[in-house]
Amino acid sequence: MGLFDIFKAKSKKVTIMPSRTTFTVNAGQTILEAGLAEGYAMPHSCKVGTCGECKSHKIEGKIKELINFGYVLEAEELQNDYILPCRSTLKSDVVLDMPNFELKRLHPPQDFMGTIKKTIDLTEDIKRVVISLDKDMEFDAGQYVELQIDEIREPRSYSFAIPPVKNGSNEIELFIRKVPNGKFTTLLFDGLLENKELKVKGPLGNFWLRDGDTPLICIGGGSGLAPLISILEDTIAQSIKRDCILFFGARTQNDLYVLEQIKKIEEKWQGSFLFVPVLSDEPENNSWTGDRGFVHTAIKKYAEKYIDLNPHVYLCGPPVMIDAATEVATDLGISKDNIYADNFFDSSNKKVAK
Amino acid sequence: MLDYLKFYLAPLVQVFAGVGIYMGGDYMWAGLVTLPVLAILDTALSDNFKKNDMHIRLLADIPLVITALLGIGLLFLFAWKINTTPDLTTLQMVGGVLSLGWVGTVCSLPSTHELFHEINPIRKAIGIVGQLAFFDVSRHISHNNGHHLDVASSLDYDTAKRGENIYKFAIQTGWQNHKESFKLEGNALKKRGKSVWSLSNYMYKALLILVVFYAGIYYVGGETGILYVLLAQGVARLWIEGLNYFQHCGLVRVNHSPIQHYHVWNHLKPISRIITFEITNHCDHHQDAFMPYYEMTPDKDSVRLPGALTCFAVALVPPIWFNFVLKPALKEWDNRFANDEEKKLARAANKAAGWEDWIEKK
Repeated sequence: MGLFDIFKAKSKKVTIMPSRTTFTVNAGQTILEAGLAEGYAMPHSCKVGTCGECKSHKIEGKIKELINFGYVLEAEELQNDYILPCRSTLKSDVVLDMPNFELKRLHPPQDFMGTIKKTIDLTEDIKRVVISLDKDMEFDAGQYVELQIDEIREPRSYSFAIPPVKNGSNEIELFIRKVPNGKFTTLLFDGLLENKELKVKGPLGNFWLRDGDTPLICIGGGSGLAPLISILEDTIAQSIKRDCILFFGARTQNDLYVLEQIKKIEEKWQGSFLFVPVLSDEPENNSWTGDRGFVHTAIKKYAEKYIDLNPHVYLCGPPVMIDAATEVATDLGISKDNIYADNFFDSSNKKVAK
Repeated sequence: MLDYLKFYLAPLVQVFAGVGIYMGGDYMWAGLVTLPVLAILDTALSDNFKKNDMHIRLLADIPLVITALLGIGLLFLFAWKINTTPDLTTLQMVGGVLSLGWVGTVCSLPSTHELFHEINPIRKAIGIVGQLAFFDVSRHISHNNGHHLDVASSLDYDTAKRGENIYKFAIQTGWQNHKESFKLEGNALKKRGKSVWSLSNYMYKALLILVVFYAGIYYVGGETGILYVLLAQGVARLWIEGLNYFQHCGLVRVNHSPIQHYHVWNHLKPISRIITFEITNHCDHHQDAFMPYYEMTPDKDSVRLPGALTCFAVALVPPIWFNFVLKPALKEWDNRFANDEEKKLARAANKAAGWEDWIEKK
């Protein structure tokens, strides 16, 4: 090394396989930090080299271990050059095989100030909420934002219920369900948040439409319809042609909403489109002639015909619905790799941080 | 700019203690006197929810580095003073031990913790070596690989069980953390096909740090210097476990479930936040370990304990601590934040501690 080499820029490159995605890692930055800063959906959790979520196979190059990987990785993994990108800086350009890395490059989340401009009742306990922002937000269909008010520290997460527009928009729409005794939604449903300033962070989340031409099986429960509407309307806007079944799980006919909007999606959809509302608490012997029961019980009946075509499944709703629908889908032979879920939790039942 | 400057409170307290040691006599108590003074002041002030207006990490790290290094420097000063001042009374030397035990706790622990989480190798090394102030150069291993994943769950050595007093906890967790670090290091070597006794074992480095340090202490302070420095480190060690104690005491979390902001206690009095480099406001740190201390957001919606400085004193008297501080806080925490599974754990923990079942029925 020459005397002045230490003054040269020390940034190096990492290439993620199999997508061949390359980004720069600056001196003093870990691979994970650099990837997240570039907006890539890097798999990770703890960031201190403990959980193993970011574990990757190093194909070539040299890294510096910031902690002893032996604390976490197994002997076989160490022998086969597995590393923890959250605790690795680069000594040379590096090529990594990161199986859970997705090529998708997301818009990095930013902080916005927003105001609730309008709320529209969709059902007894679900509102369409229109929020104006202090600047344009770009997002991908299926993602979500976090809303926070001064009185409550923990932000609340809600998915976009509209498709994205080019170069972003300073107005977003969400579907928000009233959570019994929920602090945030009680204020909202009592009308106390009208015109109130909110902190808005987004876009967030890894729920978006993956490439492909295979059929789509979309299953939404309650306000979980929001990201699916966003994805389906965006699919139409992008002239993507795929067959689709949209399942909508609700309690009674009164809990079904945006039916007109779904009808328009059906009309504009390129490919076949089937809308299947499934009601779990609709009184017997009344006018309802559609499917009854929990939404996952209807999957087999309608979606079985697509199984051989390797369909992609998109799920959004309460954890119990996601778990049940995932079980049905995998029992039908759908690979877990093709099942994408957007779990939502209210603050009384937090199991998974989004 | 004021936000950058306020974090020089910790090195200022260390300098104050250092001047006391240098002057000798009854001034040896100077460092300890800062405890009641700051605690009373802190109690009189309101909780502070303001986020720091700081953005330059290099500038924000300067007081951390100074504090970590001063923590070691004070021990050398103490050894020198004892060696060169034969007329110090036992009580004055006790004052010195307690003063350095106190500043080693309140200043050195938070600064070294922040530094050993850093990526920069020099700052990280200063963070590791700076832990000498409380007789520990391997805590970063068990801290990262245990506490960060397990906080508030039954697997965490740093979370005291309900009903466990500070004395039992301090001795137990200190020993368990050492044992865990040794075990993790040994297993890591085995996985790489090396013997536990291989020279790659970090514990040799730890031993080397200790040998060099005590050789230096012997050089300036002789055998008596080593003895009193060990006492000061020992007091600091027990007291830092105290900080651990009231940061997490009695909280519950289902093992391996996601960590939420409410899984640590918050002490948001202004002096507590400043002198501990925001470690009393560290719920964000468990959710995002990349986040530097000055970016953490105070949790307005939390159940708060009194200021950390008050807790340092009150926790030493278990009946007062349990009845007037911890139980009311846990009662609120259980009913406001715990999810259904955590409520079950809390109920069992209360029963095991012989405490009443205060969880409200739905």
